[in-house]
Amino acid sequence: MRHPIFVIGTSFAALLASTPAWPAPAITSTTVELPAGDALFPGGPEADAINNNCLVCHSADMVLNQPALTRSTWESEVHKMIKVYGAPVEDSDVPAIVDYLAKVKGSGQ
Amino acid sequence: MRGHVNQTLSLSIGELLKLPRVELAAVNQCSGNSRGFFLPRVPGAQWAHGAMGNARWTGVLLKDVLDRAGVKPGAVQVRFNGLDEPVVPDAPDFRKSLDIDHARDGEVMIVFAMNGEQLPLLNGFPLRLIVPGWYSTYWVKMLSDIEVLDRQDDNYWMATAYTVPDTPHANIKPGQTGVKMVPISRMVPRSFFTNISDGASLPVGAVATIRGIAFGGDAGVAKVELSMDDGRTWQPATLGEDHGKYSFRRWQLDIPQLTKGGHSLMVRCTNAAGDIQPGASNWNTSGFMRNVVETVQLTAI
Repeated sequence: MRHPIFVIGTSFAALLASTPAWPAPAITSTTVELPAGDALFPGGPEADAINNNCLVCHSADMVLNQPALTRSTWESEVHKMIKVYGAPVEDSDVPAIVDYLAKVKGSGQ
Repeated sequence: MRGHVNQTLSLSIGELLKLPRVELAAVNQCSGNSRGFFLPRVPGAQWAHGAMGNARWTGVLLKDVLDRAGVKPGAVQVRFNGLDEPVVPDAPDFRKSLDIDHARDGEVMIVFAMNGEQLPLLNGFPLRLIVPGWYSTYWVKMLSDIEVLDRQDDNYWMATAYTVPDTPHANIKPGQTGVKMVPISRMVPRSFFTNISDGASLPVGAVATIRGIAFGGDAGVAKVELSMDDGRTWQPATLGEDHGKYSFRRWQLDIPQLTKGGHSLMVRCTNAAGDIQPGASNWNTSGFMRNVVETVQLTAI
């Protein structure tokens, strides 16, 4: 999935010509294609809950590059995403998400 | 511009470009740069040393822009917001604040160019706040809204997120609780090797020039020193061109011929305010403000 971003701006070349002491950076509109970020968490059905709830805000890579953390730290992280950052996660999906994180990125504690 | 000002004011980019221009080289560094080296490990983006950059910024002084609106007596902080919005509606919008005196210090800038070209989207097109010497959490991208406050900002991104222990080097013991937390602020000195990496091998007897970069945080680089005896003695490096107190500064030093075997090489920066990199790593739950002396192990073969 690619998200073209249209950046709105205007060219001020004429304006900048009146201040010749400074090189004139032309401020112009541009179009940017952000790289696709559509990778899923591996693991098949046991990754369904995390794939369905967490990828709206951040990539799987962001999570999979975290250090091994305790189960209680992962629980805190999931609840922080819900309470602080407004992640729309169903209560019934929370245990499966925490289980996945504790298994895949757990410190065994 | 709005809030505790004489007149609410809307400025176009064209009008902003007519204000007196300033240019400054400055390091932009993430609060959590080098977080991946924290032990015990902490959650967050697992940065090595790459969450920083140095660029030449062109723009106007925030002070000049504030003066256009006229700051009222009793102003306490200035809050900045950008065009970016949270992905989900209930999440806290990213806003940051500076004390009024800091905002008017004649150094904080609103920039429209980086290295002589318009800001790329990911660097904050079209306008970005530059807070020299402070961590990049304050360098609000896509700046669109400036609000003068008659109180301390208590929004999430100031009061809760991006806070550090109010201790030397923002350092606490893992598990320590009941610590007073304050908003992260000024950067601290750092230095890095750039032409050798940990575990490198060099020929016995070779003369090596060791190179790197340093920056002083919120003050210039006063000196950069290397140690080859685990920090007992230090030799000053030669500093490169000075691009200003907020910029990276190159350094280099020819080290003596290496004898066969392992050698450790340490580098530390002292800034113009006398702040020096610590010999021991700091630790806090967010992985912020790492600036321990860097060490590489070399083998002469």
